[in-house]
Amino acid sequence: MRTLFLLAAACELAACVVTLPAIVDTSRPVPKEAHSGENAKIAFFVSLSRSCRIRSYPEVRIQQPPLHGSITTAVGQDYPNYSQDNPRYACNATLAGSRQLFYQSAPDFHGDDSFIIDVRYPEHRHIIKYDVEVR
Amino acid sequence: MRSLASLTTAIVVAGCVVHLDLEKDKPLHRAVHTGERDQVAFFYSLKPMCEVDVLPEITVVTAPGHGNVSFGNGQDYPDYSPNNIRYDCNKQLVQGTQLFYQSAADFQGADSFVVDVRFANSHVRTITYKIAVH
Repeated sequence: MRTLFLLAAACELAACVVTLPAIVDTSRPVPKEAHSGENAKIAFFVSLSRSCRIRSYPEVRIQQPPLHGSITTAVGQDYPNYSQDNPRYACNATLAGSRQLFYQSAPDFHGDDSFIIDVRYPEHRHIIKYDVEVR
Repeated sequence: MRSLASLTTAIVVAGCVVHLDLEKDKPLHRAVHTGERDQVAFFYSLKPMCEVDVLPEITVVTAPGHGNVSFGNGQDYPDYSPNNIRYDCNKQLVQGTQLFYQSAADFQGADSFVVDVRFANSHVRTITYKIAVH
């Protein structure tokens, strides 16, 4: 981990591009459901320290936009959902600063839509595909 | 393998929220009396201190062949697992969405239906219920 920080610091000084390790989940889309035209909250992302302090608001980049709507992000607050074996499990009891993800379909669109986002945490990226059923 | 280990370490350090492994639910089995309106499920979405986060929304995907389903807001006891920070909420009645099934009068046998349940953050579960009507 120390090496990673040193590498990041060195790269920052040298103005080079850091390639973060990525988890790619596009083969297993996350199912979601939204009402047509509704600005539906789809997910939130947090990055906390073990003492539950915010490390960063994860950045969300759109890798593949939805065909029948739009996605937006906002800074907000949510209760995290760390698993019990995560040292941050106790953080689940407290609202934490989050990056929220919203999807809004085109007016009167009904059917299936999907999009892919690239969530950037301090040490890694998470590429996620969402399948949204718009009712 | 080493890359995978490093990546896993990175995830744990970052403490991100991962939404994975959302397989379709296995069918759930229920037994009811013929012609009786029975609660077959109770859905809830609570904050850590047991306040309601959202009231789950139910959509009937496939209607039963020998009866009908209905739903509405009501109260029941939640059933969080011990590894959920909301486990203590199981001791109290909370507001949620109740799902009911009622068979046609005098029908006896097997029936089934499918519902979508939408929770907080637009998370959706598709659940099949297999009903034994006696």
